[in-house]
Amino acid sequence: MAYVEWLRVKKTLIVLGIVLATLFLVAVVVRVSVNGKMNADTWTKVTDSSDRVSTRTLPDGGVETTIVAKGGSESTTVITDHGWNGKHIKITDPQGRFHRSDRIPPKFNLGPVLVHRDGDTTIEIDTNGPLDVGMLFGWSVLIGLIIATCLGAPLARENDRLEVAWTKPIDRIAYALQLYGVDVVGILAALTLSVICAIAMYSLFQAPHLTITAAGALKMGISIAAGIAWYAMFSALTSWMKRGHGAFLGIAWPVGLFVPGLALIPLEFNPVGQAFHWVFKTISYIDPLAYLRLEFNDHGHALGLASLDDPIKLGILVLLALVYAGAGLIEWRRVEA
Amino acid sequence: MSTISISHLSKSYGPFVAVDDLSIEIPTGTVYGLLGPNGAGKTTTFKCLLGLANTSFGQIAYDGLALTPATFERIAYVPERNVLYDHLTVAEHLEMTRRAYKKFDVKRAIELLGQFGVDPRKRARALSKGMKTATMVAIAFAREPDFLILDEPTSGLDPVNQRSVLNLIINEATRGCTVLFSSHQIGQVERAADRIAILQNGKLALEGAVDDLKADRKIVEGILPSEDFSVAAYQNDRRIVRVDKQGRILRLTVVHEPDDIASSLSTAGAQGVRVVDLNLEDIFIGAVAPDTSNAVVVEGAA
Repeated sequence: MAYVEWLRVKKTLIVLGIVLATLFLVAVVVRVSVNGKMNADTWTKVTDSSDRVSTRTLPDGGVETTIVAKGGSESTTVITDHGWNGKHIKITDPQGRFHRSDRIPPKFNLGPVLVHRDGDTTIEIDTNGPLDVGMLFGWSVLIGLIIATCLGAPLARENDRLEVAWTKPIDRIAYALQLYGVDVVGILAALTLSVICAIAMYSLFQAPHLTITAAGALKMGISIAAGIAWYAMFSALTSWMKRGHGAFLGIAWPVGLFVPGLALIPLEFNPVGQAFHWVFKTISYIDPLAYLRLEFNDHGHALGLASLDDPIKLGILVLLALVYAGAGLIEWRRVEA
Repeated sequence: MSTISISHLSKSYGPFVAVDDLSIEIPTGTVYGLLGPNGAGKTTTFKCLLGLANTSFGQIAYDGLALTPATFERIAYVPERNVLYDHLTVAEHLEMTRRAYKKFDVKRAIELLGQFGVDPRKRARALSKGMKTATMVAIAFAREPDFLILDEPTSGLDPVNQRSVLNLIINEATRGCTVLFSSHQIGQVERAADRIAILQNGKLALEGAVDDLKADRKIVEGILPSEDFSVAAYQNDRRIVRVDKQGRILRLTVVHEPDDIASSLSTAGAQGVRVVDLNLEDIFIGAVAPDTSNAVVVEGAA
């Protein structure tokens, strides 16, 4: 029944595939251009003869090399070589650049590199460190939202051809649910494709050691729920429209992005400001984008609704998706050709 | 059995009454023409029949049963406007229909498209208006439905394809399909329809078998001696229901004693007086003209 929607999803995924393939090609070019600099040994090469180097064999067969710099930096590097299982490199630098910067979060993770400041600046590089698939889904949320926008307003699109849609031998709600189902599969496929692409690009630089943690699974859930809630919101707000839904999809992004930001500004200096603050804050509760980490404070923490605990955010996003989807169906039943 | 019953159907849009207390019965295997001027309520009637618009009052029944989603397995509908998906090819439309309905003869659809000169590989946006109509018609007929509801099915088609569609309609009725269609081409309706209903301002103005409607009335026409010839006597004659005068040409729609009226017209000096059968166009115009107790006089330029 939802053949046309399936064709639309297929076309959207093909375009996404082309974009991701292009990104992968760019990554290949970068990988080729940094070839020779990717060996972890080159990052920890002893350059000063005054550095103290000691080596020992660990019980598991790994070799641990400790380098204590004497050249004024007072840094310590510990390299644990596990052979085929990769290397773990820990650099402790009491005078490092990160140590002095207030703009850098106290702890952040960038692929295999973990940096944290706690008195000393410590950089840990794990050439075969775990890569949380759930976190990759978290990063792919933008792709999910874009695809949700492309597929959004499925009922409004049918409104221009109700003579076709509503003369099929299927209940209208069942038909609408089929449209939803196909689009949700499309959004999931888009997220999965983007995660696969991210893993493929990662693999160009080092072998991925994929894991799924509970925190990562929550991020994955939030990413999926955000995409679906965003899609369902479009469906609910446009299901009565016969034309003009495209313009709505266009303005939804800036509104969806700005409202959570405006809700953070305390406009409470006069009654008008208070009213605006209340409006923005209220709208932000029903804006799926408000639950994603878009605004940060100086310490890298999320602000507003995005600072809620992940299980709560996931629950709210699922609820929003269900309410919006239901509202879209109810409104659509009232439309006439 | 495949009858369509419309009982006291009314549909309003706010204060505007689009269809007003319409009741018609369409027997199995009948080709039923729905006629009316623009805005008479034909398309609204079709929409109510198919549940595309909510009825304000009245009932619709197919074989005595209310419309349900399952009924659409037996109904094929060609709307007045283009509803093809612009980004899909004609072949993809066929695939869409094949997936949606249990009964759809793809070969038949391709054969009909070939007959209409439509290339299945073309996208809908690349088709002319007539080709779009032809595609919708081909898809509808390839479903071999029990009920065919066609809103202006020949719109935009060339005369050859118009005739093909009419032949298809007649053939479908022969197979037992009940066909309800509208057209502004009265000649086409006259050729294909067994029965007609004429709507005027949402109300049923006239209904019946085409042959019966024709049999009831005759046209008496002739050339008057002068343009200022008075037709008042004919206007007040109860045997005459309509007087059309264009310059010196006079056409009288007569319900009784046409030969007597022809004689009196000749006696009055008219030339070339003759009695001819009524055609559907005359019936249509007679039905949609304002109703008066006396004959309606319609005067046109010479």
